[in-house]
Amino acid sequence: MYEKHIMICGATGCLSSGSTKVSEALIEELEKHGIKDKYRLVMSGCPGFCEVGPIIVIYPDEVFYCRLKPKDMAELVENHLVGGEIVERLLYKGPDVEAPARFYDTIPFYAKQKFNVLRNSGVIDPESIDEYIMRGGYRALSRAMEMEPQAICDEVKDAGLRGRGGAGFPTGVKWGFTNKAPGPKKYIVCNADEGDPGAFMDRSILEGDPHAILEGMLIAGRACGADEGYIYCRAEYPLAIDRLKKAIEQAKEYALLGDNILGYDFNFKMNIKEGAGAFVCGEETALLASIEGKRGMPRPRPPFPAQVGVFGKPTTINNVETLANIPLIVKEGGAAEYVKVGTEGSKGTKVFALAGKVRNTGLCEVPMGITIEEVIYDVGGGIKGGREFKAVQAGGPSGGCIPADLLDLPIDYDSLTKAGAIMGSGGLVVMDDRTCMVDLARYFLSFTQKESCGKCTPCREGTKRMLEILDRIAEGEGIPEDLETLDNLAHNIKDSALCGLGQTCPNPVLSTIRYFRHEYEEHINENFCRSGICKPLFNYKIDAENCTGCTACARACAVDAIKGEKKEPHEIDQELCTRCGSCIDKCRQDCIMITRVGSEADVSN
Amino acid sequence: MEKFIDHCCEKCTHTKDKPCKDFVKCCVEGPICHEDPACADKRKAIIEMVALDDDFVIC
Amino acid sequence: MSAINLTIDGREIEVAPGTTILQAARQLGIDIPTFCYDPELAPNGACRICVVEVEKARALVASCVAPVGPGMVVHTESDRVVSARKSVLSLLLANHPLDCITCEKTGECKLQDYCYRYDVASSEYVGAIKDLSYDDTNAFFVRDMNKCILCGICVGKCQDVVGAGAIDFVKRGFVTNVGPGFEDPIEDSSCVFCGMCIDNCPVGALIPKYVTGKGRPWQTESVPAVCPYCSLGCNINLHIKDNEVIGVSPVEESPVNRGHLCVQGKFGWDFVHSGDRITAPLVKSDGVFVEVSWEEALDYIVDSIKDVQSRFGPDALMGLGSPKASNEDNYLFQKLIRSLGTNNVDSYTCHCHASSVDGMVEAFGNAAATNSIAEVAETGAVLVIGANPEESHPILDYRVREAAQKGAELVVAVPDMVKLVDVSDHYLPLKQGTELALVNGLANVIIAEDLLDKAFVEKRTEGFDQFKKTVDKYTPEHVAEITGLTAEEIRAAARAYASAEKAAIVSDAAVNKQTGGADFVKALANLALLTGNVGRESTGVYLPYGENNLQGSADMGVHPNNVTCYQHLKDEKVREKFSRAWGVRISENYGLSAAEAFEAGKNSGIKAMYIMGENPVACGGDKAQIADYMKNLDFLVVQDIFMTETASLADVVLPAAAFAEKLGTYTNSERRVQLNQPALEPPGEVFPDWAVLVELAEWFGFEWDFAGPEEVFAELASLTPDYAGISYQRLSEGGLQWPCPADDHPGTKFLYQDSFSRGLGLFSAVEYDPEAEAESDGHSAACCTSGGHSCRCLSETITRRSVISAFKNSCCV
Repeated sequence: MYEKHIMICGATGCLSSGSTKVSEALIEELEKHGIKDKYRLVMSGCPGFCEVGPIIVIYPDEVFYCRLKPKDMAELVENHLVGGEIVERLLYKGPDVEAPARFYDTIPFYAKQKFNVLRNSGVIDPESIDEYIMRGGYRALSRAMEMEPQAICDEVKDAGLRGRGGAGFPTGVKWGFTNKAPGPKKYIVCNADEGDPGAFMDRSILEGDPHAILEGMLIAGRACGADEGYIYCRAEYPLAIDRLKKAIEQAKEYALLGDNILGYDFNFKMNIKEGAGAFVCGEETALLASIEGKRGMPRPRPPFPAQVGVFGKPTTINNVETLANIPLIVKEGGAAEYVKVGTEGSKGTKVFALAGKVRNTGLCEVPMGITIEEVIYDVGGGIKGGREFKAVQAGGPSGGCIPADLLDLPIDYDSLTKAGAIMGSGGLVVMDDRTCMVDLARYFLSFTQKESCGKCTPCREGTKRMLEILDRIAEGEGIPEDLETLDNLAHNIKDSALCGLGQTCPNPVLSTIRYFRHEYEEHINENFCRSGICKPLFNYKIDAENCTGCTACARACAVDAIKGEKKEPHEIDQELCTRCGSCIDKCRQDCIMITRVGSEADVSN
Repeated sequence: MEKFIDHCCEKCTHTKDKPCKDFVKCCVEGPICHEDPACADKRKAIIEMVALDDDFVIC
Repeated sequence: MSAINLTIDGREIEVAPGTTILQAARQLGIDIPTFCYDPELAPNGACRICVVEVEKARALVASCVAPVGPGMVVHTESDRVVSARKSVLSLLLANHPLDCITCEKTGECKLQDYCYRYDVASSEYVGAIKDLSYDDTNAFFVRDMNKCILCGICVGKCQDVVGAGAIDFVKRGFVTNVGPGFEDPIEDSSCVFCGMCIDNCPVGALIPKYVTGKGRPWQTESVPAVCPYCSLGCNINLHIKDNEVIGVSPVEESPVNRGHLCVQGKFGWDFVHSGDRITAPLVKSDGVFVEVSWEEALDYIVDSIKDVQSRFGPDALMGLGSPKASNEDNYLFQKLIRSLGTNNVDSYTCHCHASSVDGMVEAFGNAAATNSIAEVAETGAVLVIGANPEESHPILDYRVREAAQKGAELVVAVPDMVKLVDVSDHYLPLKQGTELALVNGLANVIIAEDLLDKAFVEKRTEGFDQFKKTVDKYTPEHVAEITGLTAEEIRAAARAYASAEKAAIVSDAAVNKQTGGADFVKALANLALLTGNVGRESTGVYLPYGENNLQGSADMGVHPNNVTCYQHLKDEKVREKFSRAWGVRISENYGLSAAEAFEAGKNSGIKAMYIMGENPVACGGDKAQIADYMKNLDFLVVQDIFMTETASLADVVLPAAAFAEKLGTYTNSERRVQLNQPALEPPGEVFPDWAVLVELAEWFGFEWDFAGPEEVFAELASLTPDYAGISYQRLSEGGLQWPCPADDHPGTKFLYQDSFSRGLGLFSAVEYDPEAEAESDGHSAACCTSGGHSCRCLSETITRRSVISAFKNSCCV
């Protein structure tokens, strides 16, 4: 028996923040005190609050330590583990709490979250099948083995689960198609290619709770009549792949994979196929081509994968998050509980990756129907640095932006689509007034242009031409006709592209023009980027009245463009200034303003 | 019995090649095919090693 | 399933389920533009120019891939559609060099045509233009990838139809390109220069080098011809300008090649314009050839032959006909030789196929092809053995691939890896020379596992019991030892062949006589008889010949034992019929075969030879021996288009016309008689062979009265029951497969539906003879063609004088 369980976040996010060194330091300290054997140390899955990583959570004490460094471990061990006293300095602190918060229940980031899909992440050792079983794992599978395949499809359909990969197609209906397709050979494919820049929802599930995916696929196999599955996981997720491989071996050992699963007349073989760095392989038909060893290019539909999928056989393709929901629904009494959460048209929860200018970045799981405002301000903690909210990009390169006056929009499939955005896989990029919407569209378009597979004319050529127009606008070479050209081209591409990548890649352009047309016009007609991003289209200017002459900006300037005496107002030499932004980051007086080029008219910052 | 896959006693028949239908439920709530408090204790011991708190186990 | 009703542009139509909107529109005569659509390839849906508006659909729909639905309402030229199409064109133009003025494709370019149709004069997008490779390092064609619009048709043809797999899409985004791996030059890839990519490219990205600067499409005349290379006889169009061939394209509707070609058909015609052509009669004087007039040459020939025959008897003359010349040429040739009193007429090249002929005749009574080429694509299983169709008969290879793609089980039994193995289900890398053992082993398994067609064996064959006793010892285990395969592989292959409802055997006629070639063919025939896989559509045994008119020359009686279509000389009625028709007495003695003559050497009794279109000195087994033979003749006249090795030893050389310069018929390896139109005036003093023979016959005193090849054909048809219903008038509509006994007979696709030529099919008890294999000079029974024809039979006469010699794999004809 262990005295305590020390859960160290070992997911990729915290690993990047240095959790390996933290855990090494912890072990060193424990060994120094000779008490290492008293405690169970687990490199766990992602608890979600990446902003404050590395994170260590101690049970049964229920203490959440964050922003840890290796040198903190001495204190943690001595004071908390040996001395029995919580180290307040290492608890969560922020403008949203009055006193340091001790555990999940008092940390505002977690207040409105509901852990369905992330129920095990951060709580179990991801490499232990026993812990997964203790938490109710594989019960749904046991129950499914006693059900008729069509009944499983119906139960999932009635629970209202919609595909979490972006399209939102009802999962139970999709399974029904494959169920009805003629056999005997069918496949289940898990789309773990997660290509949206900044998205890591699927990664966290795969790293933190790999058995949930196996169970989901097995239940799908039973429902659809499939006996083999592929998990198509991007190669950039080596930890996820490693966890999956271990989980598969364990499941085989426990007779939960392979032949005669749990003694029933049901066989299932699981394969892992690693991606090779192509965003387009997240598109289902390109993914299937890739599994077949071919170049990842989409195919026309019909026929749909449910009729003709991988190797020509009926195939169900589901996203990781979708599959992680399945055991919750199919377990005894699960469906009834499931439908209590969410809205009429969008049941359940959604995992979002909060990124950008929000204070609390990380992974959150919220019930469908929660408003954008709640996610950004309550969960996200509002805009960093106290700046103003401008818009949030939902759905990555396929999605659109939602401006401030739509903050009360509920997050569900249909509301988002009506507003010109999409749910997408769950990436939410929050933007403040220092984000240029033209540049944002340009960023996403340069991504899709590079990732376009090249097969169809509208996407291959059209994204390039749209990008060229945006480049010119950002460089001050835009002409008034550009907006109409962009609009026409974007609509033609949407109308005629072959696959989802092409059909949705104009969305960032269309939605930023829809809600921020004035910014485009300002770029084109007045050569001014008021967000201070498009370098040829603004100047930095120091407000002499408020400048205290602290010299912080001058010292930060790499090209010596700022001159001024100590305690005297400083001035920026526009000839030398490269507009790198280092000065404005350092200024404590908030007195560096963004102005039009060569003009006195300014914008208050 | 160190892991759930290990047999609690000779009465247990679950193996990879000859699985038992009740295996999953039995891991936490077992033994199911026979009565034996000692076997139940073995399971509890496995659980106690890793359960973070009283709400850890979900049946 | 019931038909589907839909409306396109206000017009109603009913079509079968599974029809695409594009196909339905075409049935109504509505022209929807396409770049990437090809009926032979899987639906692509890439270019998006074919998009149409379907009411109630969210986005525009690619008509080339979308199946029709009941009650669908489609608009093919609505404003929304036109806007999208103009957008596609504008995007393509923005990235396309506007070279129309000098581009070879002007006038035939789809991009140009559609821009004209939709009034897209220039692109509204001004930006980067791709700067990709311009690959012109190979001898055949130029790849200007800056003009490529990435329709993907070339990739589809190369990978799926031809199977060469030389090109694919590379990179992605704006710089997506089509080319060989690592952007190597095309000649370093697995390209076989078949020209399919060129023929199907909608724009000017792929241009054959022979065309450059020669003329515009509307300045050329297109003349239908038959390819002069292998015996499949593909239909081609020669593009003529100013009495010069400036290009070749395949005939799309041809039942033989269906718009496909190989490197020979596409590029091999240039020998016609070679500077090496003999353009006037030549007589050797003091060891040097001197140009003479036709009168002089013919006079010399007649005198010399008459002299030889008067001194040594009529059988001192021998004629070698040509498996490359036309039927008319060959018919008149053997008529002339026979009219001169001897049956010593043969084709030396034929000897390479003699064993195969013997084998087939023994089993079925006739060596003619059992089935047509097109049928291979529809069969249920194919056994490829002792052949490499990829090199010798590429079109046949395409059909085998097509069969495999359509689900046929493919067994490839060859000693070394060939590309066909990639699409095969069973690859049996047997030891070279052990093919016969394997075939007997397959028969053994078929009998042991009761997979034979008992009804067929009982009703339509004889000799089964002796055959069964022989193959009983060829158990899979025993055969495995001989061949180096495993018993399981052998069983699986046997099951694959025998379990299919229809199965075909693809081999090659060039089997080796010394090492049991005839027996090997008999063994193949055994398999077909055993499983009832002969006498039905899409079954049979394919043994295609090497030369384009080998079948025809044999049909025309260029053979010491028979006249046209195997009518035997021992038959008095046959001799009488021909004697009466020709006005001469035909000898009843069989003549010497060429092989016999050469082997007998000085003792052959031949003193004078007339060789038309053959080059035995270069293509024979023992070249030195044959050269000596020629030198020892009293008189040798050779009629050919080039100064070949044999011609250089002659006393007289007569120039001949190439295929493109004469009207005539050719019979391919599926018994199809095809008409070849003349496209050029022959150079210099050259005349077609048939005309030379008519002239020569007159000089000999025979009264031949032929106005042209049509009359020649009419005479041979009147004497040949199998050809009786064929005439030039009928042939101008398309080829006809003999037997075609009457004017209204449609020709015969496959043989032996009711009975074999000999009545019942004959099983042969043949044994694998390892001794014979050991003695052979490395060429085993079935090896002649695995690896191309380069080893024995063919002399490279025309290949050497064509650009195709730059490509190492071309069949060395």
